Amino acid sequence: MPSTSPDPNSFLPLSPAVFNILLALADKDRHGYGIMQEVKTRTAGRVQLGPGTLYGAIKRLLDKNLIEEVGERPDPELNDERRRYYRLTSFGLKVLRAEAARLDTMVQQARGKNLLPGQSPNPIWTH
Amino acid sequence: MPFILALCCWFYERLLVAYPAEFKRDYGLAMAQLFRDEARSHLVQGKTAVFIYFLIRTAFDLIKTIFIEHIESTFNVNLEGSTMSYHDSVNSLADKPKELEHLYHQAKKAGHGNLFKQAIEDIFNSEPQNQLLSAWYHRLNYATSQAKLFVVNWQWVIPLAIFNGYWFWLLSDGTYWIQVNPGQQSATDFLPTIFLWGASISTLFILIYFNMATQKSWVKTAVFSLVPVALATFVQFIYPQSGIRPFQEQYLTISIFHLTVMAWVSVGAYLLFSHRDAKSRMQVLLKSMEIFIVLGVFFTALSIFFGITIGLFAALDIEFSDSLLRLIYGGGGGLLIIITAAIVYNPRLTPAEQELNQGFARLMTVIMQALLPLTLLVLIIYIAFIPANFRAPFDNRDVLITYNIMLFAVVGLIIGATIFRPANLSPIREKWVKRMIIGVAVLTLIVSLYALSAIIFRTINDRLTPNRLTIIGWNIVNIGFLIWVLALQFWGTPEAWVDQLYKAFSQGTAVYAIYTASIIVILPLFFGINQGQIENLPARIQDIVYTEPSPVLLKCASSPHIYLLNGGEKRWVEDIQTFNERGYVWGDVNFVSCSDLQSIPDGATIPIDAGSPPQPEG
Repeated sequence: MPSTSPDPNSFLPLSPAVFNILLALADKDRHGYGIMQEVKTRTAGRVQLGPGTLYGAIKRLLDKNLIEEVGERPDPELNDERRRYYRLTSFGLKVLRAEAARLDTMVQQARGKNLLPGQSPNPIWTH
Repeated sequence: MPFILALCCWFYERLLVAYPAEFKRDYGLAMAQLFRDEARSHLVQGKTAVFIYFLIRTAFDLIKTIFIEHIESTFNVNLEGSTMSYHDSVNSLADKPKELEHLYHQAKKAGHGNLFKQAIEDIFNSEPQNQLLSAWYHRLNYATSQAKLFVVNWQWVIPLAIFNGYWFWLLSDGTYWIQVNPGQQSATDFLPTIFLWGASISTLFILIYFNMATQKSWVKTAVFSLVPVALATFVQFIYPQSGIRPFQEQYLTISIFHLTVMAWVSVGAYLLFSHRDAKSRMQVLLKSMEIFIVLGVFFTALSIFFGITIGLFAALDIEFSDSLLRLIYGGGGGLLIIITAAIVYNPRLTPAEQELNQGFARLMTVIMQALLPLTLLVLIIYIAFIPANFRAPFDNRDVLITYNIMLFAVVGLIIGATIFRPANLSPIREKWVKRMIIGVAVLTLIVSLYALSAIIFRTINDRLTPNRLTIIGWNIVNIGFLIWVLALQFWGTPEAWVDQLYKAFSQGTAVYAIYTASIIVILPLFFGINQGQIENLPARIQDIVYTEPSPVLLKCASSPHIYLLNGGEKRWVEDIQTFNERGYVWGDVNFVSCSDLQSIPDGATIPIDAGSPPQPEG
């Protein structure tokens, strides 16, 4: 069957919340609270998702087939029906990679202008 | 600590009801659990400030996302993301009929039917031998061809809208204004003719469009469009006969509203001619409300746009001519009425098949249901304050007017709040909507009875006027309607409560229509002037008849005698004792010339056995 998947780049750019949720699911399946904690820890508290933002984004990611709900419970101790686990789909992974590549390109461009911490600033700003 | 946690969680769970029903059903439990987990972790840390910050952050998150989810579900737009696709999902399910059907329903529920169709088309084109995809392709294309029946025929709408706009522009010209008070020149002494004719003319063009779109019956179109035109003609020519000048003015003002209602009734009757069931009537009622709301939005946008435009030109000392302003507001208004009706109502579908789950109709449901608890609260507080200000509507006309406007608005709210499919509501929410509607109906009934007693009191202590008769009638109709709503809820089964409401609304609408037509036709009979009795009176006396309220008492300066003008005759009032016993006051006495008074034929004296009436001398 020939592939008729849309171009992952057509989903870009991702909003910060969506990018962080996909990133949280990149290494393992998580439930909502797990995603929230992972994002909070990884960003040192700079990104904190509220319940409405998180589940609104999850709803849209499910609609777009970027993530899927997992039937089995990876964490038996937290096997509560109110906890729903989510997993990145293969297409979601493609989109996440495309976004990471896009961001990487932009960071490279910023580096080319000596704008990253530790780099000497562009001479134009030293006038 | 557990108490605070439990309290916060309880409160948060209550607030989740503000999300769209589908979203709450799918994610409400998980969101409540997430909130509980996060709140617990903050409380365990024991940092009060951090916990409070968390609550504030969550409140903002709640407000923002409630708004986003409602907008997205109402208008089927995606505020938070880019384009999406069902290609992968359809691809993977291309040989699984059951799963594909399930995916389709999910896509439809999410408002992504077109995206699903696009995926089916793309994959079918690359795999034309796949029979499942072939079946889906033809199924969806047939559905699309049916949906496309709702095509606005702009080639008819635009000319008809321009014609309507032209009449609005023409009849708003000062040349055609009706002078309510002869000899007076202030703006309030004139009535633009378009106020009387606007709704009737618009009905004519709307029905012409509906008939052109469906090619049904020109006879039916002619009959239903000529009824409001005939009523407007009746008002235009009968108003000079309707009593004294203040009554004529009242009759014209009353007629503006009632002719508009009758125009709407004519369109509704046209649409319901072959579909008289309760659901069809309810659908027409709701579609009408949608048209009024959309029209209001369009007209507001038009007013703001041209308001700014005119302001910009005024800053350059360039003034728009009167004709151009009438073209913008009058002509534009007429244009918008036809366009709005054409884009909101699909004449090719029966009333029962009209779409009420998209666009403004759906937004209207959300707004109306949100207003229900607020209205209930306001009514409770209002009724609580009534004993402290009991006499306000009895003494103050403006308070009474406010009451009656409020009562109409609440009846509209009760109707608008029921535009929902109960299957889309959770049982708890449905139960609360029902309770609130009944609560609002009961409280409105109480306020209606209070308002009715106030206007009857004012009428007894003063006199009956066209305005008062009309409002008393409307109060009685509204009270009857509310009692009927409650009675049907009481008698009907709890499961059929929405059907019972629809039944009450559809029957109530018929009563409203009959009462509206009656008001237009009957008022001049109640408050009319017999032209034959006064046409031979002197001009000054005729002027008094038209301008002064009854009783008309006449006297000339050099004569002690006072006469009551009655039926074109003057009736001598025997003495001051009789004068007082009849309740006459000096303020009602009009001074005229003795010759004018002498020229009026004598009628029976007051009292009847007072003897031969003396003539005024002087």
